[in-house]
Amino acid sequence: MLGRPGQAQRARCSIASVLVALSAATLVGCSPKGSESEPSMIETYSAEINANPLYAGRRQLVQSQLGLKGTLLVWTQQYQGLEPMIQQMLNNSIRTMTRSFEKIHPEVTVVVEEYPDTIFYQKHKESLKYGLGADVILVHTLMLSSLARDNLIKPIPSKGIESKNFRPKLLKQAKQGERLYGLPFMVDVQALCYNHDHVSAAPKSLKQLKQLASEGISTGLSMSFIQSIWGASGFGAEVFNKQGEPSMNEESWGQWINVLQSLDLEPGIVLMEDPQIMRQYFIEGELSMIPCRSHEFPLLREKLGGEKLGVASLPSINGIPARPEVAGLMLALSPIMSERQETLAKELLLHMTNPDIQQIMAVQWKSLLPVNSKIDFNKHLFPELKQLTEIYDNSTAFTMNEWNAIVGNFEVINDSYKKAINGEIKTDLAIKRINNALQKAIPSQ
Amino acid sequence: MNELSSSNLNTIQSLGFELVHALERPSVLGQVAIIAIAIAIASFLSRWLKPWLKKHDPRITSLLPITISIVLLFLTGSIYKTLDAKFGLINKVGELTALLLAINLLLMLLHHFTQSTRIGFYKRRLILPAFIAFSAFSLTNLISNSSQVFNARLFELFSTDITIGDLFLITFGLYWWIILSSLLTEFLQWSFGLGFSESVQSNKGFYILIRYALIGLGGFAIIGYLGINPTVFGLITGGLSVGLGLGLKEVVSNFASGIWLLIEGALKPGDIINLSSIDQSKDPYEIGSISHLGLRAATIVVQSDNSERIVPNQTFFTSQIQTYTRSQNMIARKVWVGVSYGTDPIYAIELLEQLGSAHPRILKTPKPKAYFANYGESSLNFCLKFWIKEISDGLTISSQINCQIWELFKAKGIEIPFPQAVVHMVNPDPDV
Repeated sequence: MLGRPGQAQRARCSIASVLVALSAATLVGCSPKGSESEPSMIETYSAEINANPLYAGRRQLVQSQLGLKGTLLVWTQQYQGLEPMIQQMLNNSIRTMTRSFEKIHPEVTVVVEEYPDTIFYQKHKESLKYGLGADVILVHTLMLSSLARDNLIKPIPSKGIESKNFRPKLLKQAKQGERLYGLPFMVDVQALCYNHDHVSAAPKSLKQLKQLASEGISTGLSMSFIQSIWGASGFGAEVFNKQGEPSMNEESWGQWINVLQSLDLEPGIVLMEDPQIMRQYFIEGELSMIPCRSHEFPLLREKLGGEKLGVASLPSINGIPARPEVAGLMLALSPIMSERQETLAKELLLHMTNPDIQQIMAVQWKSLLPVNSKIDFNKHLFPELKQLTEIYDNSTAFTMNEWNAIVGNFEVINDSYKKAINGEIKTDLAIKRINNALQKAIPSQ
Repeated sequence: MNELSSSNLNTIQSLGFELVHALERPSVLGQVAIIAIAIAIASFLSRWLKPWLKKHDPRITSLLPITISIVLLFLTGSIYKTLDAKFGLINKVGELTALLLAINLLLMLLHHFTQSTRIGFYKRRLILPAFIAFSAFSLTNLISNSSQVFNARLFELFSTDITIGDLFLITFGLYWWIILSSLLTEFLQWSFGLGFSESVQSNKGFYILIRYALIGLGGFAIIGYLGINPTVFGLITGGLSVGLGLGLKEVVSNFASGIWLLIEGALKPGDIINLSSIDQSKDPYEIGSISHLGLRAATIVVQSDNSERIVPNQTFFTSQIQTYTRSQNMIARKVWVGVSYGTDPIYAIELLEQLGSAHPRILKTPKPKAYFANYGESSLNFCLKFWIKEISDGLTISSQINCQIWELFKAKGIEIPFPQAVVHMVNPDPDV
């Protein structure tokens, strides 16, 4: 029957291929969904939501959402500069959300993959060439504009999206014209972190900060442009005006830079370039106060130990509250999905930005503000969140175009700014250079 | 499914889901369909053109389906690009097919210049599997994060996590390394210009050792890379030492004998030995040639009937072996002949030596020598001793010499008598 050795070999190969395919199909059919336990906090919280008549309508699915089936692919990033603990928390939050989504829609499978941030965007771009890649990607706010410009993400269909459910500043960061390119997933603000062992109360003004420094309370401040714009507003300085045009006033910015120069000369205050080194000194107790991002709170809490970590707003200057920039992570959609995948992706986006889910994440982290405009967590139980809300209310949110201009000229901006602080060039020259760079970027959009 | 197995299988299951997910997209499904159609058309066209091509150049026949596939794929890729549709997959498959074509062309060129029959073997066992693995990896990498797939933990072994990648390394990796070791050894042999020189047999043992050393090195490297603690093997061998000593005594003995034989070079592939020294063969001149010397046993081809005997190495190590090719291949043979009483023995010796010197396959040095051996019952017995190059020619040359002796003695009138006896009676009685 199989007389020639070639035929026998081909038959063996065919049988082997069929067996491998059957094995793969069996493995795919073996669903692991029911085998892992959910964090108990979600179960408790979910039970409370379901029992509370106030929330009776919030978890009911509309008819169109029932019977969803298919597979979704979500790509997230492994941030190389992020502490492993924080990265793990981020991964856990995302996986918790996707699993809760799968529980609501049992016939949907969500596959989450992580790629290093150094290759993430390149990988996404390459995959699109093949028609492959994720349906939903988690991107940093400042990358949204370049992704939209290169058609690497698509506008989120407005149907079903209630804009008023989200904090307006965050939506502003994801909108270009009338098109919404991302849904806010995580908001990250800049606060002042201090060590309770060294500092009983955080300084409310720059004057108080200087006073504490002279008393031996060491403080670190950043000399990078983005990390230090919080104080410029104290002199009426801004980066962009209300029309989104670069409007860095040389005099105002010069005053702020002069203040930074004088602070650098103060004993007990040090200006540092590298935020990671500054954080390390804070953890080791060499610095008692530093500006910090809200996503770092869990790490600092663990490293400092106990209740040592204090969080406050950055000090006001000339009676004007500090206005740090606000950024974070956004959920964006791939431009090449099937119709079903797009429906599923949108449902997932709505699920992950659902107030309940966001509040659970905020409570777990004890450092993240929900992205939703209406939140009802207990401000006494979570004082950090209360503090963050105040910081957020005063913060500056750059639009997509503004972020694009900053990111596109980041080296020039940072280099000029640093040289001005170090006295290597005059401040008005530095501000002029930055303004020019920003102006070149903005009109081309 | 328990938690352990579910976490092991998650990544593999995810790969399956991602494949399904990819095929849901019209852009991907379209490209896959185009690729399948292109390959089918190429297969059909090449079968149709095969008879015509075989007349002109049969070598191109094997390359035809690949070539047509490449042309079709790049053509459709260009059309897709013009239509602003996604064509990356088509291009990728086209690139892989082009790589396959390049590999085939390179091997054809290699075969043309070296005329080596081993190229086909390495193509099937080493190069094509490597190409298939590379293609599978490339295509998997498009769909999924292949590093996550390969780093998925399967089970624990001696406190070391074994992943899918590790499993591939242990199985396919080791297999490829064994084949590659064989290739490296053959390349070394070819590089150092052994060719068909007389020293092939003596150096083959040396290269067998190199090959086994490479395989051993590869094995240890893989174990080291996996992170398995080598002290574990010490514990295992220590625990099994009694068992090894008793139960595996013969195996270890054969293994050690094989290594020693290869190092010493006392026996090597190509040697011709007398089989009666190692077995109960009744024929004292049963000879065989060693075709393969492995680590456990040697394979001997019996010259009389071309059968093969597998003889454990220990036998060679502990027995006295008669070999005809140890230091040189020359062997002496003798033919015996008796002539009638009355024949001049000096003349007979002269004739025999002339015959021996005239035979083309009898060595001139040492010279063939004839001897008057003894006074037999029926004849004067002579022996012609001569040297030949190959032991396997002994019987043939002896037969030829015997025939020539018969012809020559007949021509010279020298009788080769039948066995006979002369009876002398003592005190004969006239009446009887």
